[in-house]
Amino acid sequence: MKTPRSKLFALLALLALGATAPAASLTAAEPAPRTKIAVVISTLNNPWFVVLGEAARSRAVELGYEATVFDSQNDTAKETAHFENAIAGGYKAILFNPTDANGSIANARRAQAAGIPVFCIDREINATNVATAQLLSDNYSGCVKLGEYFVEQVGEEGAYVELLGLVGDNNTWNRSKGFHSVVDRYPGLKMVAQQSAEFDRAKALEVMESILQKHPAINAVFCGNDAMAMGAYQALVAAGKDRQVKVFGFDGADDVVRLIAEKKIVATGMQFPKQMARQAAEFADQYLKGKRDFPQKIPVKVDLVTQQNVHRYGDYGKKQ
Amino acid sequence: MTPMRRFAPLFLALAAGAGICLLFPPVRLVPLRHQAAQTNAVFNAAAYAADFWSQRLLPALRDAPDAALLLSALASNAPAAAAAYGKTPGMSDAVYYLMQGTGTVCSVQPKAVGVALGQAGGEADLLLGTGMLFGNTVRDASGLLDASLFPNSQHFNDLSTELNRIVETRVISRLKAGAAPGRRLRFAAAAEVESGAEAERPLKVVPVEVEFEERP
Repeated sequence: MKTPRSKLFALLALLALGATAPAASLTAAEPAPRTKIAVVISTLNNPWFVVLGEAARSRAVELGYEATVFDSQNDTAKETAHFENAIAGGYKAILFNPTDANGSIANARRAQAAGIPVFCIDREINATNVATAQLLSDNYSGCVKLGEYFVEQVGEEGAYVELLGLVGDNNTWNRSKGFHSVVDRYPGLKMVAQQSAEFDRAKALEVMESILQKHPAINAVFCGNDAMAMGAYQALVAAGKDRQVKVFGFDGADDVVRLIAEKKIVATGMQFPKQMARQAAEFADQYLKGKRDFPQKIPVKVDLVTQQNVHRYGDYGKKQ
Repeated sequence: MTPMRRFAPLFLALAAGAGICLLFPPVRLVPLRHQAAQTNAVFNAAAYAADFWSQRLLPALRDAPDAALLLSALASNAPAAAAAYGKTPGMSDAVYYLMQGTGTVCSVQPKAVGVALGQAGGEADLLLGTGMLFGNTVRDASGLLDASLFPNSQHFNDLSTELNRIVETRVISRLKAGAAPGRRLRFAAAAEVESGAEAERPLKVVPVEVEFEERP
């Protein structure tokens, strides 16, 4: 039999339970805040980079993180602001597509100093002790293959134009050097103009229009990315020279792959933005779960896409 | 104004400068072994390639698998051959191999020499390229060079150009000069084998060492 004193204790215990129960159930109903991952992309003014950023973001979300994409608009100052926001905002990892191989090192170093791992995607920074890992398209090899195919298609004699990307970006030069490592061995192939169109379609259109006025009798144009290939092709159509001039791009963007299938563009190099971006998100996940031993630079193979094998490619990769 | 008072601002400025230098050192001492890896200074690809060729690649050829053994392994079980003998830098479905062996020249083409690994008169098992050499096969087949060693990938790629130049001048020129049907040779070679092409014969390879047997 319970005494009045024990009843009082029981009553107090019940009251205590009653008081705490709602709070406990409220806590259980509220999801714990998810760890945040930042995806900093050089520019979203190019569909290829939109795919890269979105693939990184969606894989991070699949892995249980909150992920936000930041657009640097090809401006290292904007990129700096994004890094400062990511550090102040409590982001725990940064998936990073740098704007400038040298100019972006300081931003990655800032994150490193704050204890935030940085995983570079597609573009590198010229340092091996700042980023945790760098997943990089093997642009040089891709453009060696493209250069060999260029000689096959254009022949060992002719006049051509090269449109370069951003001059501060290593991808620009790795592509150009890979291409020239082949084409320059054929003295009959003359480069009549080489100009930067900054990886931008509208600029490529403008630059190509101006080049065509000075060099109307060219045989081919090699473009350091597919956005510029689209701009160059547009200029050639407008000038009525799209059947005379062979266009070569690089990236594997869907619109160029489609034009290759329609036999309007000759070839491109297929990078694998989704594969690289997903892998970077998985690396960040592994890091946040304790892994530390990552290879610093990981080249990712590039495939040559031509009118013969284009049916195997699409949606920014190889068809399964 | 006393001299002490006159120089006080100068002393203050010097002290402030020293303080700033202590907080933000203008010079950072870095161990020498990091120097090559952490600067964008001029990189001498030709010197690096010459050193790599003589000090590391040529000695590594002695450990390369026998070409006939490798071709047999590639045809019967490509994944096992890749695991045992291949190198795959980064993310790729292509595998690089080194190999060595002896064989007989069975054809001399404009850009390749066909070599039969068995007896004279057989079909070509290998095509040793004699045209212009491009790409990273020579650089990557040994697995001794890693992209992570190079802060700027342009330097890593410049090595391929220089190694290809060495192969063209020292090996391909000798192969072209000496190749004649029926002639026996000892060779070492590098190959990039794409996924799905493991059983293709003759296999295209890059010669990295060639010695002809004396004519009888």
